[in-house]
Amino acid sequence: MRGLLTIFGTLALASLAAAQVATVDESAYYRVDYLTPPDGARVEVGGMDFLPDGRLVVSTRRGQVWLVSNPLAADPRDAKFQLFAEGLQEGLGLSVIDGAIYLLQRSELSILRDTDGDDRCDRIDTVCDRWGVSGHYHEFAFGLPRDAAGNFFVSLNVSFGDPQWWHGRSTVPYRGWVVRVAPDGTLTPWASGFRSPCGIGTNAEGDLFVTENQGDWMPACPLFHIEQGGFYGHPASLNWTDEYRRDSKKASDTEPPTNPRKPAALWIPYDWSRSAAQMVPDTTGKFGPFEKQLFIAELTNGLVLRADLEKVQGVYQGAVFPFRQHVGSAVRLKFASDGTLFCGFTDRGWGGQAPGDGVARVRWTERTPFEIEHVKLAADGFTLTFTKPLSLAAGLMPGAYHIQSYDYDYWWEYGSPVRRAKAHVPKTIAMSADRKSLILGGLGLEPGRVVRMSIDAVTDADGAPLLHNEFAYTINQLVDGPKSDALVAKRVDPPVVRERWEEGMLFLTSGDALDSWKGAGWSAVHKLELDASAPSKLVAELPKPDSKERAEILTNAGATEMHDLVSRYAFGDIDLHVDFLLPQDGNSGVYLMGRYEVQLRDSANKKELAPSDCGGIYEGEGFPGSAPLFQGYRGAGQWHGLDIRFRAPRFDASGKKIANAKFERVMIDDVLLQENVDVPGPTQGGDAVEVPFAPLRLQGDHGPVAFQGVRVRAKDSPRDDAGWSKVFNGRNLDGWRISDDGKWRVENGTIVGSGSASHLFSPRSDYKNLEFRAKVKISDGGNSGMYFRAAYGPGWPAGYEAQINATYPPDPQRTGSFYNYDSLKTRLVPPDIWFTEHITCRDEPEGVHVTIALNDIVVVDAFDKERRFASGHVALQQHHDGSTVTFKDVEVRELP
Amino acid sequence: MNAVYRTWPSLLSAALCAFGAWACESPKPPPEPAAQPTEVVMLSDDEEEPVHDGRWVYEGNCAGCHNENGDGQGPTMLALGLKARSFAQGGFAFGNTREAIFRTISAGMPGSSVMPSFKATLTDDERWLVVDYVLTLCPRVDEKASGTALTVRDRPQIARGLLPAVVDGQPEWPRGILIGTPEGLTFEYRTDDVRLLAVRQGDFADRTDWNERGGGELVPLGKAFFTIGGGNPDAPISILRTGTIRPGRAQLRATIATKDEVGLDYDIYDSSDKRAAIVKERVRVEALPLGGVFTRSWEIRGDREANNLIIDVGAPAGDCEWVRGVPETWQQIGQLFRTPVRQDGWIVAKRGDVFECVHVAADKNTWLVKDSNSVRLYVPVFAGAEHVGAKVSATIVMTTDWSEELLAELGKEIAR
Repeated sequence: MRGLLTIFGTLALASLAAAQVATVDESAYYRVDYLTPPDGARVEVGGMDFLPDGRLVVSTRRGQVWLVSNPLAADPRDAKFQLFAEGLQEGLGLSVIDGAIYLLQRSELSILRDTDGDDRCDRIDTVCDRWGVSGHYHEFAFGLPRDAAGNFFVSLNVSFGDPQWWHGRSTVPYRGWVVRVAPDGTLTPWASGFRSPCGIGTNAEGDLFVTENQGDWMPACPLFHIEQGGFYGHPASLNWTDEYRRDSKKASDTEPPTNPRKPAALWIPYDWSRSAAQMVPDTTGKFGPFEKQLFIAELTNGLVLRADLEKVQGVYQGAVFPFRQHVGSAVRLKFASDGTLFCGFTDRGWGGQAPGDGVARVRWTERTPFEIEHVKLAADGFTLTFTKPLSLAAGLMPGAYHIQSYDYDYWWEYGSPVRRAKAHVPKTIAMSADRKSLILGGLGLEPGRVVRMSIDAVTDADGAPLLHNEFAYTINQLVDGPKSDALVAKRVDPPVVRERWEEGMLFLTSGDALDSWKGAGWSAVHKLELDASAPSKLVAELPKPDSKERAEILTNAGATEMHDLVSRYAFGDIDLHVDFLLPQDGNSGVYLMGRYEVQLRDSANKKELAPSDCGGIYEGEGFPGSAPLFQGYRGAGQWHGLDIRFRAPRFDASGKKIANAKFERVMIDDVLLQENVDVPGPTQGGDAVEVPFAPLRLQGDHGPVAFQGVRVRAKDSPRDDAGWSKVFNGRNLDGWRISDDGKWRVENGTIVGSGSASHLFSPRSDYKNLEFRAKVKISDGGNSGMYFRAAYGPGWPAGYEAQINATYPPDPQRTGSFYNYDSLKTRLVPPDIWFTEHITCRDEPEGVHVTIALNDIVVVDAFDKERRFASGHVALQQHHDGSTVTFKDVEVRELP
Repeated sequence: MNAVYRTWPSLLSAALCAFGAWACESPKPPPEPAAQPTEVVMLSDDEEEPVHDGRWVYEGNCAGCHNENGDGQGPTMLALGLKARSFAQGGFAFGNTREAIFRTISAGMPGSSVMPSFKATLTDDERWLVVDYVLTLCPRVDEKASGTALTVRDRPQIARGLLPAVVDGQPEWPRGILIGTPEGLTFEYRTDDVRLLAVRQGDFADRTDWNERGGGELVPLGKAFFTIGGGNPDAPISILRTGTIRPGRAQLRATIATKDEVGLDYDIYDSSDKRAAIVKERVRVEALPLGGVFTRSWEIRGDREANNLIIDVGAPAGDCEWVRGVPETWQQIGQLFRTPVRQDGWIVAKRGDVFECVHVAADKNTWLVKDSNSVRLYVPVFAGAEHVGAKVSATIVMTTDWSEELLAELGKEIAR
């Protein structure tokens, strides 16, 4: 029996004020149609080229090669697929040379031959297999462009490993390299520093380019111009340089290498490209006004981007534009000689937009779109050239330009948010005599930054708006002045390396998700989606009874009265992550400390973003609010990850505020929306009086919304060692007493408890008022505890216990509980991860006052009015056979 | 009861007598599965003509070993002190798809649980009837859900991929090749230094790399009845120079799969990375009424200089008891370098219950030797890429029984 909840969204209190921007109709200029794949076959495209007889050859990730006859037929159904070869080990690059099909497999570059003329491959010649394949899934090989001398170029992915599963590794030669393969099979390592270079090709001039994908050491998705010997940023590949090999040196996982890096010709904004793939130049001149420009396949967003590059001071750089959306999970592109752009799709395991396989054709309708045709860097500005003459007054107002520049951090973390963002306003605007160009000046441009610009109020002579009014230009060099060394991806201090990313966090919606919250009408559900027939409603599903399905999504869908959801714990400075989902017209918010709101709103169609749009910081008294820098919100019914780095207000000893609350960073799905925004007081709807610690509040009184994956991490604070004494010397258990013949041991400076139930008592037995802390790791299914004021003896000790428990059931009191006094049911810390448990215990007039903090966040603040235990040992518990607990840094600070 | 019980050697003889009556052809495409009977209709005991259905064919041809209920304890097997495959336990060594069972019935089974081919004794239609009947004797098995299974159709198929370890604890092979034949044998090679690892019988392969992000294993589905070097063999081709044998490195050059031939081309490089020979290795499934009889052949050409090559044919090898036609040992050959001993024909060795019968055919330049208890071919390769140094082949039969007559018959058939 499956529970079903349906709820009508309350009417939006304030209708969206801004006019909906007319949907951009790209199809009037570029039409997309889809070839019909053969029955039952999934054509997961990895490479495309044409045979001399006009047939299209398509290789796939399934290791099949198809011949498509009639690929240019007026009716796409007349293009017919025929299987030429199968059984290959992927095929992510294909090139036809003098009628011979060259295929790049994961393991080799091959020629596929049909020796008896029956259109089936019967002989496969190995051209080159001289690169390493370790067996890791991520070791894709991409291709397959050639240079004028007939050499092939192949880009080789790294594998993954420690310290995070996605952390690049190069365990066999030339992983993370672009290699050159001569026609005779000789392999030459060509350029290093790559991670997942899915797109490799040449521009109209024949220069080699590679697209990369965001990850460690890759802040976003760039387009690199490849030069022999160049290093492009990912250190793993350096293992195969002469220098590293000679010195038996291994690339560091976390320390940035000192090797000089080559710049990216483009950094594509992350909201445009999450997975960049192949690029092709239009060399046909039959694809509209963008001859010689590059077109870039974008898998995740299912679109095609356009790039206009130029060389400034000898270095490639330029602008990237949205070009054609709603194409599909495009990975491979190929122009036919008539100017038809073939797009090959695959999304398996990578996520993308439908269709996720097959082949499409993008054709120019011969109508010229009104677009920004070229962006050229000028003296402290840009020259924008349009495809059509502008109306006379178009674009001459500085307010028509929304210009931001930013850069990135170069580090081992997965991707980088936009960093050091800055607004720019043109001081001069001029129009060319032919009315086709605008020249912006006085922008205050700097090298090593990306400039992102959107333009309003520019119309053509007929008053029509731009089809796409934005671009992002990567500045490596200015047109004048000395040559710059600045890179967009800035070398910064590497972030703290944690054993696991979960370390230091409290998970507020894991296990019993509601236990860490208060709010009438909220439920914890298993699944949730938009009501297909009424998208302003959410439909939720409860877990099946007796199933292992989790109920870790919190929603007010189904509530008769709508209330906010308030956390059980209070926070100050935190990094907060919340996954949220809104229905159509949804309106909610995340109130840090119950006072400072980041707005959540179904505002995907908004062009001009206001503080009341998704990712905005809402207005308050004397504070106009802060609009999001970019559109990070994608739409109703989709889960979004919201990350906030928040600093609580500061007060002096007298309680006077000395520093405002501050949003250091707000991101949705890694798109930076706010940076260093000071909030002078509570925003509208926030609690009135500002305090140093307060609970988090998730808004639920404006209609249905859902949250999951809520986790917080307290700000790293300097370690406070004053007055603390080590109870455990790190070497042995001298002086400790073990009950019940327990099997306690010391291993690598830690105390390990395993085997049957037993307790380990501290040498001293006279602790009264104290703080007691340790770093703890508990096995999955394990149970333990930290006792204080405990008496030595067999069985369960007489004394207070701060719980450590990764079982549920049978013991519902989870880690952090003050056993039998205050029980916590949420799985705040995961098993097998280090966390800190910090107890204070002190006699007070009201009773024995006990607080327990996990990872520096107080989760228990309780009194034992009966004062059951007055003094005793501190002790560690080994609860049952099958449970393993590890302690380190076991310390006590006595209190008066 | 109309059952005909025959002991397997006599059945084998009968099958051998029927040489020529059958030909090596691809099995007909399977007819649609017959509707599964909801209950087994009991044959009446009266004298009516029995229905010529799958059960009737099964009881007449299979029940002697597999028993009427499919538990593998038929009277013939019991008499021999052996046990046949129990369908009741869902066991099919060589695949449980209709096609795989059809192949097994048609081709027989090699190795220690030997089963004769029924290709000569039963028509295609009768064998398909048996397939559907046998499936009613075993627990229902789920179809492969993922749709990632590869099947071999009308001609040999080659699949490249990451091969899992042949034997637990051995390495996986990131560069591997499976050669599947219409007859149901699969030849499993590592290809970054070309070596045959095993030969399998049964269904072809599961392409797990079609799942998720790719990069998964290419899992051979057949059962390995022949494994070389425990799944991690030494280099099969070595170079002899000044009395020292050093392994050659085999660099893959091509794979070939036409209607007429299937195999690999590779070059042999010496320890200083100089090409020593150019090799075409082909595999062939023999059209014999025994399961799993196959032939490997090598055509070897020289490169710029002359070389002496040693080819390890893969069997017999290791700890075996030499039964017939034991070749000269390497030491003797070393002494008799100028007057080598040449030998063609069958070598038989016994390992456990299984006899490994190897038939070596070689041209005049080639000598058969025994070294470290394994059969090797000594092949001088003369300079010049156009010069064929040797054409050699080894046919391998794994059986629990053999006789001079059987080998003579097989030898004649191979020579044909």
